[in-house]
Parts: sequence; C-alpha cells; structure tokens
Amino acid sequence: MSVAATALDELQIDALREVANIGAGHAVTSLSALTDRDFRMSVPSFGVVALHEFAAVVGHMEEVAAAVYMPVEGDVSGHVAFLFPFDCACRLCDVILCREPGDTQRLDEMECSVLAETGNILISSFLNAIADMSDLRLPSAPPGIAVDMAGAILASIAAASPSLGDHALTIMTRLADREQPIEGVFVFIPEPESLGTLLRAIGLER
Amino acid sequence: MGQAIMVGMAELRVTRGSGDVLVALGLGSCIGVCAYDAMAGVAGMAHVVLPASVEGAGEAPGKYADTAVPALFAAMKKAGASPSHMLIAIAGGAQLFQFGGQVARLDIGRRNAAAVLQALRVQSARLIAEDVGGTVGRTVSLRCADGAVVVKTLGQGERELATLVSARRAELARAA
Repeated sequence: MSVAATALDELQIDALREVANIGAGHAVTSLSALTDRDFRMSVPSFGVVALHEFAAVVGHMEEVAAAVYMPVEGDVSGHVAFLFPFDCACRLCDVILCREPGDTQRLDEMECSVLAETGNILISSFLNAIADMSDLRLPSAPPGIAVDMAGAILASIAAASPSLGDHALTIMTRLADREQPIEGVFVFIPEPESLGTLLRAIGLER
Repeated sequence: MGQAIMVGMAELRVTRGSGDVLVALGLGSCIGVCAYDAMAGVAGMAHVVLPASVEGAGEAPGKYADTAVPALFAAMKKAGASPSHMLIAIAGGAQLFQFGGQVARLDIGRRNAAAVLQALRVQSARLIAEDVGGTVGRTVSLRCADGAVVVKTLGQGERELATLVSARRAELARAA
C-alpha cells in the first residue's frame, strides 16, 4: 500500500518519529562504543518536504559534507544516510584513527573507507533496531560514500528513489559529541509504498 | 534590479529580467538545462531530477527529462523567445557516491544525461555546451544579461562553460 507522505495524520507521524528515535538511539550507542565518547542525539525532526526545498534541509546547499548512504531493499524500502559537515567528518576520523585532534585535514581513500565503515555500522544499528521492533526485514546494500556539496548529495539520494513523489518524507536526527563538536545528521527517507507496511507493523493500520 | 532566482529540484523558471541570474544549487545526479534567446533577452532553466515521467503522474513537468525539455521550450516561447534563436547548455548528471570502488550502482546521472540529450534532439534544440557526468557535484548559473553559463564545483571553483550567444551575434555585438 502506497501512502502519500502528505496524507499522514498526527498519530502516524508521532509513531514514525518514535521508530526513527529508537533506531537512531541504537546508532548513537554504536557510535559512542566505537569511539569511546559520549554522543547524544536530538529528538528526530520529521518533515514532509517539497522536492524543490529538499536539498536545503541540511542547511547550506554548497557546504562541503561527507555522507554515507545505504539503500534499503526489503519489506521496507528506502534510503538511509549519514551526513557530516566536512570538519566534523575530519574530527571523527581523528577519533577513530587515534590521531591527534586536527591531524585529519583531507578525506582521502583511507579516511573515506573509515567513514564508510563507520556509517555502515551506524546505519545497520539503526535498521536492526527498526527490524526488531517491527518484525520486518530491512536489509541494506553496501554503503556508498561521497564528499561533496551537501545539496548535491541529498538531491542524489532523493533521485535514487524510483517512486519519488513531489514530496519526500524525511526523518532527521542530529547527533553531537559533548566534548568536541562532532555533529552529524541522520536522514531516513522511506519509499511511499513502504510507509503503509511500516505503519501496519507497528499497529497503526490505516 | 536583478536577482538570483533559485531553481530547486523539479522546478522550471523563465525570466526576462536583464539583471537576473538563474541558479541551480548543488546538482548531483540532477541536470540543469539552460536555455537562452539573446535576441528576445529571455533566459530559462529546468532542474531535471529523473529521466522519464511515470504515466499519468501529473507531477511537476520540470522533474523529468522527457517533460521538462518541452515544458521549458513552451515557457520560453510564451515569454517571447523563438526556438530557432534559442541556444542550450546542460550541466550535472554526476555520480557522487562511490560504492567500494565501483560506481555502476544507481547511475541516475548518466541516465538523466542521456534522456535530456534525447529530449533536446526531439526539439531540434541547438546544444552548444555540456558538462555532464563525472563524480563531482555542480552549481550552475545562467546570466540573463549576456547568456553566460557558469559552472562551480568543489575542486575547481567557478568556470564559464559557455555563452549562449551565436558566434555571428557576438561578432555583431563587438562591432556595434
């Protein structure tokens, strides 16, 4: 059953936000364990964003960002991505590679591979949490990585959806480390035909 | 006073304002189609997201290559442009994400480029410059004052891709 993102009621939006909240909570726990730092997350913001405004949701479109993206193809299909501003991605590499703060200045093959693997772990935690809760399968394809303009990255992810409507449902969570600012955004875009499946699985049949 | 007119995903904009600049920020796999009629002073841009429209979807015409190009031409004509004077440049269609060394997956950029080129052929459009494909995002702008198309990327900064004015017309302008 395909559900238009614009047709969701408040209860359903709350439920989806809670699903994302639990998923992101697991991802943050993984990241904290991986880096031995104390990452916190915001309450997920939930938006039905018109396509022409879509790429601006992360802030400045031309700001350089690093993103790890994994398409999800199972009972629920969609797109999950982790975006970090460039300087935050460098700081994350410092932490994971046990470098001195400020050592990572470029995101070359080594750093990209570290970010891809980190993203893979976080996104898998996110998806596993949702799968456990809903009893649905959410297998993901291997991660892709990009370092480019934030707007171009988000637009490319949106365009990867074959059934992309004029609006995209996006659930975003910000995470930040308290000691040193490492901030990232978690973006989850379920395919329209998966929204109904997800809502049914969590007991909110339409 | 001129202004920067943002052309978001799936949007299509046409202007006659001589000081205006049409801008598509952060094109990844999307393609910015720039059209300009120097005689009429009309500039237009479409921000194409996907190659082909789904039948009966009734969505924004700017979203798909096969509907965006004819819609752009129609909007340009309505604003006073003549198809025979219109010159075209396109930019975008990159594949940003690298999947473990292979880039084959989800190569929408390449498909978008092919679909835009096909749609331009159908319109017998005069495409004079293209900057498509590759792995980097682009911002593309079109200046209504002189038809200059500028492409900006992270690595290389800004560069002028083309000026959408015919050689003969540019010569006349220089002589005048």
